[in-house]
Amino acid sequence: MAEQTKTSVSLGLLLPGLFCLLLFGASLFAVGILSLRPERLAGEGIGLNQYLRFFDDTRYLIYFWRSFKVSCYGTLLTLFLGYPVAYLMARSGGRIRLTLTLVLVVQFFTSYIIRAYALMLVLGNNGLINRLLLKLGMIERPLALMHNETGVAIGLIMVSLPFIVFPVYSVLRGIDLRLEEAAESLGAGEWQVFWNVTLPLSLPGMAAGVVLALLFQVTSFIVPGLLGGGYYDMVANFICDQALSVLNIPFASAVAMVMLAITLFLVIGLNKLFERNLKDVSA
Amino acid sequence: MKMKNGRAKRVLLENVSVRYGSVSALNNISLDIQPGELVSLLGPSGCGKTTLLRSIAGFAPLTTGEIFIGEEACTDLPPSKRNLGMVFQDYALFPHMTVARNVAFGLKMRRVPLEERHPAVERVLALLSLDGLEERYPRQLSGGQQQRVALARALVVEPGVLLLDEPLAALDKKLREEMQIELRSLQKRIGITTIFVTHDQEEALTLSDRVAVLEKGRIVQVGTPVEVYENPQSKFSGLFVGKSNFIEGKVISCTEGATVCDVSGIGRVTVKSTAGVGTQAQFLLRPEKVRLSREKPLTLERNCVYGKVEHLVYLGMITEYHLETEQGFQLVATVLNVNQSTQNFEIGESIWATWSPDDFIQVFPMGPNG
Amino acid sequence: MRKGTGTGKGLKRLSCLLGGLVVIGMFIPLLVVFVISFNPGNELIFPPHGFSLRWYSNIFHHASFLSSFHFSIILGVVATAVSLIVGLSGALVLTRRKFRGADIISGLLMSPLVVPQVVIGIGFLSLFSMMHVYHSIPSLLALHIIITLPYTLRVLVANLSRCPVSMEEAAMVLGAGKYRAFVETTLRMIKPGMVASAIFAFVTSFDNFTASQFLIWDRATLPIEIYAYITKENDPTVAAVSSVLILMTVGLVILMERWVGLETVTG
Repeated sequence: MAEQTKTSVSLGLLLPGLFCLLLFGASLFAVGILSLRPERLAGEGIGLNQYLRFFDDTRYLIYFWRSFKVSCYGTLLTLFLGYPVAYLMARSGGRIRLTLTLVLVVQFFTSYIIRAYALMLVLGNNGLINRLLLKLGMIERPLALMHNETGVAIGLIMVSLPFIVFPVYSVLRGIDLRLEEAAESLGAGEWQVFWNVTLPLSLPGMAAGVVLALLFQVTSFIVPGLLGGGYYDMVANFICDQALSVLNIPFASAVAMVMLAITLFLVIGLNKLFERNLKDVSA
Repeated sequence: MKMKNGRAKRVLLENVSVRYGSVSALNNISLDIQPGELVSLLGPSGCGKTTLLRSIAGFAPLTTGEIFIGEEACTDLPPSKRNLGMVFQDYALFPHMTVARNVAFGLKMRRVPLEERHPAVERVLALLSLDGLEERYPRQLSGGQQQRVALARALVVEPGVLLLDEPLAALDKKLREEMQIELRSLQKRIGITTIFVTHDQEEALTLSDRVAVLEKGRIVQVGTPVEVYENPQSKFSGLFVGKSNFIEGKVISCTEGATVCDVSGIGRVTVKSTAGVGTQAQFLLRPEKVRLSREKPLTLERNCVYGKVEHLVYLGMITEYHLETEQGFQLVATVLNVNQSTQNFEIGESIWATWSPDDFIQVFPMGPNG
Repeated sequence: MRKGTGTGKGLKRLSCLLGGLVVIGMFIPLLVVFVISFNPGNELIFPPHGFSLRWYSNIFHHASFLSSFHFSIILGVVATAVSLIVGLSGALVLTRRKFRGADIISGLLMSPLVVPQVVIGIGFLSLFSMMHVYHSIPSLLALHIIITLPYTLRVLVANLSRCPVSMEEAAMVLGAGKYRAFVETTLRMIKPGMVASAIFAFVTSFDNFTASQFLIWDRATLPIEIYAYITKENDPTVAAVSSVLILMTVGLVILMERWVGLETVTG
């Protein structure tokens, strides 16, 4: 507030936030501690056994491999599909833009479970797509679009579309149209304008969206859980299974710490990468 | 230096109108700009001057009329095919490209081979005193430098016509005045047809071969700066370009071109006019044409009035006196501050104002085009 | 379509086509959920054979849906309220006082966005187990406050940056006391921001599943019940529940658009 607020007032205001931080930090610390405990908390002692067990057994690494593989191409596809939506939204007149925004925000606010469930109804053997194709006689047996990598990939893409669309839309909206006009006055046709002016200037939005989408896809639980049906578990599913079904909390904690480390590394790395290469684009 | 003989194009507008829904931005505009001319489009905001420029560029679709650039009708041609150079009001420099890339953009679009691009860019940068700035980004440049880069970018492709949309508006006064002179000399050297939009009438008078005055989507007057200033054809021109006293009077008698009007607040004035007896006539009188003195002018019975100095504005080079006659008429006179002793009047003083009948310029409600 | 350039149709057409297809692709699954919810039969067959409301009435036969819905709403409201208060106080300090650790603290408070939900879930499970607090209510509350805090904080910081202290000072010069000035100027001006972030936070809390599932000792939230149902049963009751939730979401979004606009979400 106005006037020289005393440091005590400022500190007082910051206290609740700091308390929350403390709680959050403590929870992560607790995971760390537990990851050093022996299997199923049987017995005492601290050691790196859980980590060793994880890294030794290649069976476990498959979860990370799956997560990264799908997320990489999944994020790229989400980018290709999301960009046109953002472009359409940014360059449309009021009513169309409003409708599109509403559709996207409703998607965004709808629980992942409902959206994944909806996709189950579309991709399943008795779902919309298979029923339609069978009826039209285009296929003889239902396509396996669920309980495999395809279903999970489709699910991840559809669910993470808003993560790409919103940042790109935001940046596109801010581009001064006169820059495009200037390019046109210099002889650029509409595709050249897009390639030389619009696209480069929208890179910051794309970068932000890619980080969000990638993060979501790598750590996703619900989509692989419902659309993978147990046949395509990713890292989050594995950790959860270990913690809540197998009840091996220390092991689950160790894997969780590894996941945390990799995720942080990914996010920080990507941010640094984009920062360095995109500093010229932000006008 | 680039010699552009034969490359400069003529720009012809015939009956051009631009309407957006029910709003008429341009109304029946006809204008013929000769190759190599610098024509200013002058007017207040909303008069349509920017719309006119943009329609020549191809960004504002025409409702009626034709536009010719060179001998080609280009009404249906997209902006990218009109081979124009355009400088936008905020320069519109590509923030993600260096100065060199910005300037080379038009050449890249025209698929000029790389080996030829570099020297062309260097040439035009040298022309505009921008050497050494090739690898800088727009945000690292000053306003004046950005403006020149925008100009360089437009000129490097050697267009037939150069369009400028209030390019100096963002600069401070001193820099603006310097750029005006630089721009004019550059234009004359290159010889390119130039169309310049501005709301600053001093700028228009400084730079132009001809000035087109616009009001509410119409061209009110076209002429050389001298013509437009000394012979305004409408009340609007006279009041917009420079300052003027606006005087209305009823015609009393008319003999051999010497008309006598009765102006309330002033009395009888002799003017050069062809208005009929009994009609109301309108006139403009430039403040610098009014001569002030403490002594009553002996030889004149008309074209003089006695008034009190209500207000004065000291402007350094000149002083503006606001006089009020006994009958309440307000007259503005400006005096050059050279002769201190005889022309130094004070507020409250009552003095004589005189003028020559030739200085009363008759105007009509709408200019001849209206 | 509003365009800066006046040429060509290719780009316009392509973006309309691609973008339109993708949006339709996003829309259709939700539509399918609606249609299935009216299916008289037990199977998840498409298209349905008739029209029936039995799955909607079936919702009421499952006490778990109703009680978890009730719980999720209350949890969401309380978590949002606390989050708003904590967020507002934090935002006030971060925007009005320059101190050395400001950026770090701000970054740390936003960190729940970056940490995987599973990790947060296990973290809270571990923490509360260690403290021997095996109750869902306090643990879920703490969890939801922490995961909604980044949203309230971010929006409020953005809003407060646009409310300079000089406005409160002007109010004080005109006679308002310190707190009155704050309420009349700053608080009034950030009201839309507070509403927007409240909605955002509430939705985040209400929909949360992955982290929350670790803390269901004695209470369950609606998403958890829904997920359990999907994995165990195979009838369209879930479709009915989902349809209701989707309708509520649509209503909420439309209201949000009217009240405060959607810029908080879209950026």
